[in-house]
Parts: sequence; C-alpha cells; structure tokens
Amino acid sequence: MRNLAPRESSELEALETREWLESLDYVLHASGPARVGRLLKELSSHARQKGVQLPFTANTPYINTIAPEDEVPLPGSVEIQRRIKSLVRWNALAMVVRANRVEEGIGGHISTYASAAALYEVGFNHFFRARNEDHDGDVIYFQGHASPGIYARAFLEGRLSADQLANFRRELMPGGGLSSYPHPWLMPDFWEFPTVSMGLSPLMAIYQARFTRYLEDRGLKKKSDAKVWAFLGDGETDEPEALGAITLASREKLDNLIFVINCNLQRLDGPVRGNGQIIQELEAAFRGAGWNVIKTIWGREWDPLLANDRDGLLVKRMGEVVDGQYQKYAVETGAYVREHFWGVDPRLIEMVKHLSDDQLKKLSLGGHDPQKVYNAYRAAIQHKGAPTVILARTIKGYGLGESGEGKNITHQQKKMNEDELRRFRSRFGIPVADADIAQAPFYKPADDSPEIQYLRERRRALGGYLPQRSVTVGPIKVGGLESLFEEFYEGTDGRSASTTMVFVRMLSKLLRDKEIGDLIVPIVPDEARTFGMEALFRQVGIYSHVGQLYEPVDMSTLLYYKEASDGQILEEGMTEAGSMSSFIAAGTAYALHGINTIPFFIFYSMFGFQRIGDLIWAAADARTRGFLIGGTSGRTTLAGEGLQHQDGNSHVLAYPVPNLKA
Amino acid sequence: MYVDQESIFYYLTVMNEQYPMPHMPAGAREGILKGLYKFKPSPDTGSRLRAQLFGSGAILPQVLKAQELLEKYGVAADVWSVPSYSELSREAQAVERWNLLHPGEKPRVPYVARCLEGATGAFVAASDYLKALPASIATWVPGRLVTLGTDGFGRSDSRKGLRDFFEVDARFVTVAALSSLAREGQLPKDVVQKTIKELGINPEKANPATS
Ligand SMILES: Cc1ncc(C[n+]2csc(CCOP(=O)(O)OP(=O)(O)O)c2C)c(N)n1
Ligand SMILES: [Mg+2]
Repeated sequence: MRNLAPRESSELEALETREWLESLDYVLHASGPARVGRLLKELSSHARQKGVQLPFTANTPYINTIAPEDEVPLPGSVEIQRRIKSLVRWNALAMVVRANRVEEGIGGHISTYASAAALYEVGFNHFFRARNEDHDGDVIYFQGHASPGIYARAFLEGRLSADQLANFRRELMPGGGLSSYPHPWLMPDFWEFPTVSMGLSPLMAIYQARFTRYLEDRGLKKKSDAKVWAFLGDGETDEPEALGAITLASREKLDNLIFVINCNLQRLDGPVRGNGQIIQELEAAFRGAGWNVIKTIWGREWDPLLANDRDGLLVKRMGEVVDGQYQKYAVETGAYVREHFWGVDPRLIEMVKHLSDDQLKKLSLGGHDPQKVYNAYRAAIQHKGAPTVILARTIKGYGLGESGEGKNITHQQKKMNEDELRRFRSRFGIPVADADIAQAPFYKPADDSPEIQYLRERRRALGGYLPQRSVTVGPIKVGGLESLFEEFYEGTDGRSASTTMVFVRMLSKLLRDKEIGDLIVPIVPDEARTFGMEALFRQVGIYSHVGQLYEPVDMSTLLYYKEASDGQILEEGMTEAGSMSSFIAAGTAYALHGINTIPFFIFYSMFGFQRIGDLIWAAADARTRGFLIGGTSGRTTLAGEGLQHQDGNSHVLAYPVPNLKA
Repeated sequence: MYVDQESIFYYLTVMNEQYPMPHMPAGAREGILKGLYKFKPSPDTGSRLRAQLFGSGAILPQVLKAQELLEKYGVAADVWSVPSYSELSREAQAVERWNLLHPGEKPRVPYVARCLEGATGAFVAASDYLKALPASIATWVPGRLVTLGTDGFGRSDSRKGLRDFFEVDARFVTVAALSSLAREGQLPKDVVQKTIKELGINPEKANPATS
C-alpha cells in the first residue's frame, strides 16, 4: 500500500477497514460481545508484541454509550411530558424576564435551565424519590443557576404561587419572594443544599454519598437504595474541587452517586473547550478514575444515520469536530451544517441526502431527548460497584431561537422582547394569547388538565414533592453531660495541660457518652497525631467500608491504627475540602436523615478558613451544626513553624460568618 | 510597585452601579493613596450641629444624599471618602507602635487623626462591607464612631431594598448622625424618633446581621 497514490490508498484502506468490521460483526452475532472483547484484547496485545505502539486512550468514540437496541421506551405519555416541560420552560423564562422588567439589573438566568429542562423533567417524572416514611428519598444537588426551572416546576405542582414567582430575586417584597439560587438559609423549607458556588456541589455530593454509607455501616440508619444526584455544568468542572475527589467516589464504590453533567459546551464567556471536546475530556478523566461513564450525545434521529454508518465515517466525523465548531452548527442553518459537517466527504453527504435542510438542523441532541435521558438514568441507577457520570450533550439556551440559542452571550441573557416571547410561546405551544404576550404571564393549566394530573400522579408515585427541606428530628438527650464536664471545671490543680489535650480528653469522653457518644463524628485531615488524638483510633476505630484488609504495622501496640467498617472517625487524608464536605454532610444530617450527628472537624488552623473559606460559607448557608476545631491557636504558640502554619488569621476570617460562633 | 520594585500587590474592588463619576477634588491625591480625604465639605460653616460622614464605594453616594438630608435637619455634614480603611488602620498602628517604643520623644500623630483633627459633631461611617472594617479606625476618630455595614447573609433583592435591609442607605446614615448628636445632648431625643418615622424606617425590622 505504501507506494500508492493517496486517493487510491484511502479507498483501499476503506475497503480493508470494511472487511475487518464485517468480520467483527460476524463474531459479534455469532459469539456475542464478551467474545468480541476478548478478541480485541488479543489483537491489541498481538499488535504490541509486533512493536505497534498503541497510545493510551481512556476514550470511547464520540457516540452514545447506550446502544439503541438496549433502550426501552420512555414510560408514560411522551406528549404530556413534553407539554409539562414546555410549561416549565415558559414559566422559568417568564420569571426571569419579568423580574428584570420590574427591576433593571436584578439578574437571573434563562439559558442554563433551557438547556437542562429534559435532564430535570425526566428525573422529576421517573426517578427522583422524595423522602417520606417509607423511603429515605433521593438527594438532589440542583445546579444553582438552573433555579428558575425548579421554581417553575414547583409552581405547576402548586407549591409556589404566581406572586412568589413574580417576586423572583425580590425576597424583601411584602409576602416574600424567591431567592436567586438554592440557599437553605433563605428558603429553609425548600432548598437543601447551597450549590451556586460552582464546584462545591460535586465535592459535597461525593462526601454526602459516602456519609450515607457511613451512617448505614455504623447502624445509625437503615440501608437504602437512595441515590445522590448532582447536576453540574460542564464549565463547572474546571473548578478543581469539582473533579478533585472523584477517585474517592470510585475507591469507595459509591454506586449510590450519580453526576449528571449538562454538556452544553458553553460556560459564561464562551465555549468550555472551543478547540477540544469537553465530553471526551471528562470521559477520560472519569473513566480513568474508575467511574461508570454514560455518554448521551445524540438524540434518536441520529440512530438510523449511525446504523447506516458501515464504514465508521460518521463516527469518525463526529469525533473530529471540535466543540467551538459544534456550537457554530447550533446557531447555523441546515444548509450550513450540510456543507460544513457532512460536506467533508461525498459519502457523508450521501447519507443525509434524504433529509431536508430543516430536518438536518433539527437532528436533536441526547440531552434534549427524553428517551435517551431516561435510558441513561435507568442505566445509572442499575449500575453496581461504581459511581456513574452522565455526560449529556445539549445546546445552551435551547428553544430561545435566534435570540440566544448557542450564542456566546446567552448565559447572561435575561430580557426578551415581545417578538422573541411570541416565537418562544409558539415554538413550545404555550396557550398565551397574542394580546397578553407582552406581559409574559405565568401559565398553569387547570388542576384537572392531563398535564397537572400526570405531574401529580408521578410525584405521588415517587413519594412526594422535591426539593423540600424539613426538620423532623427532636432534640438530643444531654442528661449525662453535666457530670461529664465536671472534672474540667476544676482546672488541672497546678499541673500543666494544653487546651488541645483537654479538648481531646473531652472528645474521648463524649465518644463514650451513652446518650450522644454514637452521634459524635470526629473528622481529621491526616492530622490526628498532630493533636494527640491517636488514642481515638483504637477507642472508636477509623471508618472504612471494607474494614481492615491488612495487619497494621503497629498492631502490637495499644494505640494501633485500627480501621473498621463501623469505625467512627472519618480519617479523610490530607483534604481539608473533603473533610469540610464530610462536616457539612454530618452537620446537616439532622435535616436530611433526621439524625443528630455532631461533627467535630479538627484541622490545622491555617489550612481551615484560608483554604476552604467558601465551603465554610456554604456550611453556614446549609444550616450546618457542629464544631470546627482549629489547632494550633495563635501565631506564637506553634513555635518554629513559620508563616504558613502559624495562625493569627482564622478568627478574623471566621468573624463574617453570621451563624458561626467563634 | 514596579518602579520601586516593591514586593506588594493590590486588591481593588469595582462595582456595577452606574452614577456620575466626580472629578478628583483638588489636593486629594495624597489622601486617596493614604486611604482618606475630604470629599465634600458642608457649605455651612456656621452651624452649631455638625457631622462627619465617611463613605466608600457604592455607599458614598448614599452618604452624599445623607449630607443633603441632614441639612434639612440643620446639621452641617462634611463627607469623607475612604478608599482604604486597612491602609488607615495600618498606618495608625505603625505610628502608635513607634510612640509606644519612644516614650521620651514627641508623639507622632496618625494620618487619620491628623485629617480629623478639630472635627466635631457626629461621626458616622457607612460601608458596603462588614462594620468591623470602618471600626478599625475608631480609635483615632475624635469622637464616638457609629458604623453602618452589611454584616449578615442578606437577601436577593434590589439595591434599594438591600440598602434598607442592611440599614446603610442615606436614611440610616441620617438617623445615625442625629441619634449620635442626641446622645451627646446636642439634640432632643424626640427629633430622632420623629425622623425615623418621617423617613419610613421600621424600628422593629429584622436584624440583618442575624436574619
Ligand atoms: C466559584 C464560582 N465562580 C464563578 C461563578 C459565576 N458563574 C456562574 S455560572 C458560570 C458559568 C457556568 O457554566 P457551566 O458550568 O457550563 O453552566 P451552564 O450554565 O452552561 O449549564 C459562572 C462563571 C460561580 N457561580 N461560582
Ligand atoms: Mg455549560
């Protein structure tokens, strides 16, 4: 082949490829996927032996992970679900547009929810279970700036009034309004988790999922199949906190954890990876970390095209186009897409010659196709032994048409003129008359309409409405505490002691307390010995889901490094951010699980507020309870350590946190 | 920084509120760099009732409005702009330290104290940040410094709504000044009471620092 003309060589290559693919198809049909897997492994090992260097890749082709033949149809009436979704879209949009008319510059986001509508609606109608007497309920971290959509749904559910919607971002209006983003501090009956400081919610979700396991392993809570879902933006994953703990999730086999990353390929300013593919980048990172990765890139209209892609030309084309270019297709005409996406190869053009430009333009994406999303979620909840991430491709500002869809300005868009509103209304079939359109009225069908009936029935079947925050747990019993502290009131009788030593002694006594000992959750970021806490290792054990699979080197000593599946200490390793996330999970369990766990997070004081101040602010917002213990106090007591360790700052940094007693 | 090759860096905050930007007052350069300068003295030099109002950033226009409001109550108020409380506080601390260690020498006077020398009446600082920030210069203010700030979680709402919520708008600056004067016995208490009512302030409103 080497000396052939390029054109001839490429045709020969295509032929050769086709032969190989057909052989592979034959094996697949004759012996099944497992055999194909073994064969490929053999081939790759053979190639390596022959000196072929195969570059490492953690990626799969740029197509859906779930094959069409493995899909099940979306349950329920597709049409009614589409109608409900359209109504949520409309009300979410109207909420933002109206708020900004009343008060110029009040802000709000339209395009984020517009791109994520199907991701949420499929969840609400089929997956998210509410907490009630029979079930723990799924835990949902909603993407912060998608809040208008969540409010709009609660409006259809009859949980929020039109007045409340009208007062979006106007909480000081008489009768109250709705907070900009999820803030349990501001809406304690509604929001559970503050998520809008991007990157913290994925981190907190991971530790939340792990803390649920901890409670179960320690017998503080019944085992349950509840899931933790975190809805994230693709731009959000640039925050180091977002991906920083993903190996913990796979190491701990947290199959109760599901990330849904809305890959609309855009962040605030422009494309997330204009010159690359964010979906592929994330796939590699998560697969490399041991997650189950489900890519939901293409909608159903693409299935027949891919089925006809016998030479793999389309898959290859899909994989070589960069995100910036995909974004361009989203704002362009079908003719443009035909010329620039399909036009690179006459064989590709041939594949779509039966489609009009309009049809080409409307080939939908995976994250907008409820059936694709449904199947991704279904696979995610069934997956065992590892957390799942769903990478769902969408268009930012989906449905906003020329006024915002896929545009770089779309993140900040909050206004729409009458014409744009009318077009949106017509596209989604909202029954608002032309005469009223300028007012952007909220619209809710009658209680006995099929939409409201369906939506209510689904929520009933899934255990109730969410998000919803409620505190049902009663006070802890503190009968024995007075006597527990008695010895400390006495002072040390002339002997010297440090407050760190005294604290550790108190903690150790608290852990033994009959009434609340079990509720204490000591959390340390690889710093227990620093504070003389190693005796606790033995006393209550270090939590490890699998127990202790090795013989610790110090087994023969009294204070050996004891790991146990019912261990009480969360020895997080050197991650203050992770430890703080555990602190938040433990300190909010009173609301989420109805369990009054009392976390003590003991950290090197300079690596607390300075390092993870924003998580502490989130903890405050989340109404977290517990004790942060910063050692060693002061800039002069920690002799010899120098400017990075000696803490003269933390009290000043703690000062602004309104509900933190420092 | 780069000319003198200093190992320093800057933190500046910029805002999104639009209002006419004043020209730099004559002679203000040094004060801007040091953190304090008189922005707009009261034209009324004869009044018995006086106030010194401190503002920065987005709250400076509120303080200027309070200056006008106070005029109606017969109070002549000077407005000071405070680009940097931390610079003022650090300089004053450094001077105090020198004084502490040099008891035999003529005490030096911190910049902020020099600026305010002879100033009388009420002293009110309003900030879009925590009250602790303006409070950091209180020691060198020649009177009791009342600080208004945005301690607490706040809400999502309009600027106007938020400034009412946090009690940092022109009305609160005005009431704070009057109340301070009443405390000093320069005004009858019921004037403050009346003003609270006139300005539409709800005295039983929730405490923004804790709600
Ligand atoms: C820590 C942090 N930095 C910046 C922001 C401001 N911000 C809000 S959303 C956003 C872009 C989000 O893009 P992406 O995560 O892709 O979400 P999308 O709206 O596209 O779904 C930015 C920069 C923030 N909320 N939090
Ligand atoms: Mg995005």
